[in-house]
Amino acid sequence: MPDLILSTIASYLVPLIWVYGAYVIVHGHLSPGGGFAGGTIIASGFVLAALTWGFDRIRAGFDENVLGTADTAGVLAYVSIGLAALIRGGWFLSNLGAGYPPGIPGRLFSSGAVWLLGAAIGVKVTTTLYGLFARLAESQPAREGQPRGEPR
Amino acid sequence: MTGSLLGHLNFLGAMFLFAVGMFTMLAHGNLIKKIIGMNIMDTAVFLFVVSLGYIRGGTPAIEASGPAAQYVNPLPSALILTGIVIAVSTTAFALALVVKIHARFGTIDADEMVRRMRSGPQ
Amino acid sequence: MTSRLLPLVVVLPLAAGFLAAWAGRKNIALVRAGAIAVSVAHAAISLALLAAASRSGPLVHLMGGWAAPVGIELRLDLFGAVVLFLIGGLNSLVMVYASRDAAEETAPGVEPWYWSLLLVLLGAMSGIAVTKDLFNLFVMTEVSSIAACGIVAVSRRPAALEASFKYLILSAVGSGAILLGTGLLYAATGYLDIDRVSEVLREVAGSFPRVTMAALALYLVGFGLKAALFPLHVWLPDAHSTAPSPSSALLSGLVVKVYVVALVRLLYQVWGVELFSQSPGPTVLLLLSWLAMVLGSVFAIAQRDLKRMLAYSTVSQMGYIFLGLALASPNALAGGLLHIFNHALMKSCLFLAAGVLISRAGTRDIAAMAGIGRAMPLTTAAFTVAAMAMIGVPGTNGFISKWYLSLGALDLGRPVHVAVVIFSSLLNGVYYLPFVISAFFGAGHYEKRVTEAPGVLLGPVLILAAACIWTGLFPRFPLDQLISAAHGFLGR
Repeated sequence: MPDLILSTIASYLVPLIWVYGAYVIVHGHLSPGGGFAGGTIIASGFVLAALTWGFDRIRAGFDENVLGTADTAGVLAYVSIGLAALIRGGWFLSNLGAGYPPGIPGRLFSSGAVWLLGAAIGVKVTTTLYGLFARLAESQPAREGQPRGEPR
Repeated sequence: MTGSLLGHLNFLGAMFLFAVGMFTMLAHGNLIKKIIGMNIMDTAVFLFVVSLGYIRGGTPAIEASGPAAQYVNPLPSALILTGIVIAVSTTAFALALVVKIHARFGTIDADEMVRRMRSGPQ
Repeated sequence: MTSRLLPLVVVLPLAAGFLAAWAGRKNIALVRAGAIAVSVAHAAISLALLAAASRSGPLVHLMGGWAAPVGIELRLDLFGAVVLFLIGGLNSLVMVYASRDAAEETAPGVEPWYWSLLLVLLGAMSGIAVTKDLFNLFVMTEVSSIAACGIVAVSRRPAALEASFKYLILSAVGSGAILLGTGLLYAATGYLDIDRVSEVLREVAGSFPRVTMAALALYLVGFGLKAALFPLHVWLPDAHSTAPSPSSALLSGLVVKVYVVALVRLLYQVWGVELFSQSPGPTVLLLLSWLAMVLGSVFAIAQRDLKRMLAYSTVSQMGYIFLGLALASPNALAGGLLHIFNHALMKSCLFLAAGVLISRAGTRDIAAMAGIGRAMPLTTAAFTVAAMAMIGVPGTNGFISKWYLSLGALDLGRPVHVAVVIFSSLLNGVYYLPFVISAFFGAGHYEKRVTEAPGVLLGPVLILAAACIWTGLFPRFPLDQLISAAHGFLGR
């Protein structure tokens, strides 16, 4: 039974945290932050939600398969962007040289591949951090001296 | 820049924390304390490297933040971001190991763990 | 053109590692085959890169198209190319062995993650060999350390958990030291690219003597911890003996070596031989290498567990490599670098063969394994060949590297090192020969219940043993490349 105060406040905070995290990720090339910081923020939103409403509610929408697939997709997206740049432009992860559109500096969809990479990193960091937290927090404690079971 | 001890407070603090972290890591028996010591030591190094780039009165290295004589060096901060992620990963792995050690041996004290390992069935 | 292939040796295994983790739960056979395929592709690319580097000099790749000091550069010189090929080739053989062995030796349900860790380790070690940027070196070192701790922790044996935790904590001390050293170098020189740091360091070493000395000490401690330099080796016997056999082979054969590769780049490309020889570094390394060569073997003699004996032997052999690093003569350095290559072949053969022997015999106790050689003649013969190579019998590759180490010591007019090398080789014989003799001629009844190993396990063992003899009789590769690399390191 989720605590009333926690549940009320979290229901306002968690969407705000998620939106803020998404803002930090997407504006990575315009202001401090980027994929790492934004991913951490979104993951902390997930952590707050899990602590308030229980891990099973989160698992209903984002179970291990979804998290794992998003994790791998983030890495593969990053590597694919780099490899595409290697094939087209000659250097791994090259940006303008590989033809990624630079756009107008200061606008959201600019700087070529940088924001794509940032988004991939954001997804990866989010799924990894929340996945780590979920696995560690849900492992069963052992009784003193008795070997016990594996984490779920 | 040279000479003033207070002017280099960041670096002194970093060295002190490094020593504290290393001592904690090596001297305490509790596995969680070892992990905490590792984190303190890593944080000390991060503090040291980030302080290298700081210039008193400098601004962030973004053109739009107005005319400034000096930009704070962004490179150490970018490097340390990576370093923090690495420290997080190492901590997570260490904590997972502690969970498994507790599940298997029932203790998180290093000496007790070795004692149970040697005396118990493999 | 071939320099475009350079980032692939790092990126492909890393990406494949994540794919393996994702796909492993569904289809483990696909993951095994895929991992071997990636490793073989890595070895093939390394071979092409080695050929290109031999022909036309170091290959350079600018990450993102940005040149140093703004960007990170990858550079593959001859030494790096040899190391890269060693990493890829040895990894392929070990993965073939693991495709059959991993299911037995890893904890239930963990095997997909094991393959993922192996691939990530492959990518990270390659990263150490090819990078030209100090912070990139640190990142790759970290990734390979975590992956290395991981491949110990997946073992079925509970003692592996403690060994892995100890490895992780001590490795973290090393990492902290390396990062602090990198920070100090950046503070002193303002650059992170190896060439730029080297230029500036030569100028400012006089003005910042303590910072330079502190950075050198931190690097020696940091990489020394990870490379098991005596007396920082205390994590190694537990970690390498409780790990699954493919992991032990990789750990003793490759992982501790790549940190020596990093140290070589630091000592000889960043500091340079003049600055390094003026510091107390060579003296310290000499002293510690003596202790390693002698005491490592002494501890090995005292062991009853076969894999612990092999682990202590690794500590002793790292002493030879550090001796080569400390004696700044071309022959000695070439001998030390060659021993990196040779010991990787010998020790991985030993660990893989030991793994098969142990799993068949059902015991790890050396005395209890008497007579196993009659039941498993091929495996034990391969073990014998590799043991002979460790002792340094002429005709094996171990002899060549010890020969060059001794030549280098004599070049410098210090024959005392030759005496230590010979004494340590004799000690090697004291713990290898009894096992080999008792395995073939000891009283035991294994013939009734034990058969020879299957081809998947036996193949890599035999290939590695054959490689020990081949590179002992025809040492031109990689000796020529390493001699020219040593001259390059010392000539500046």
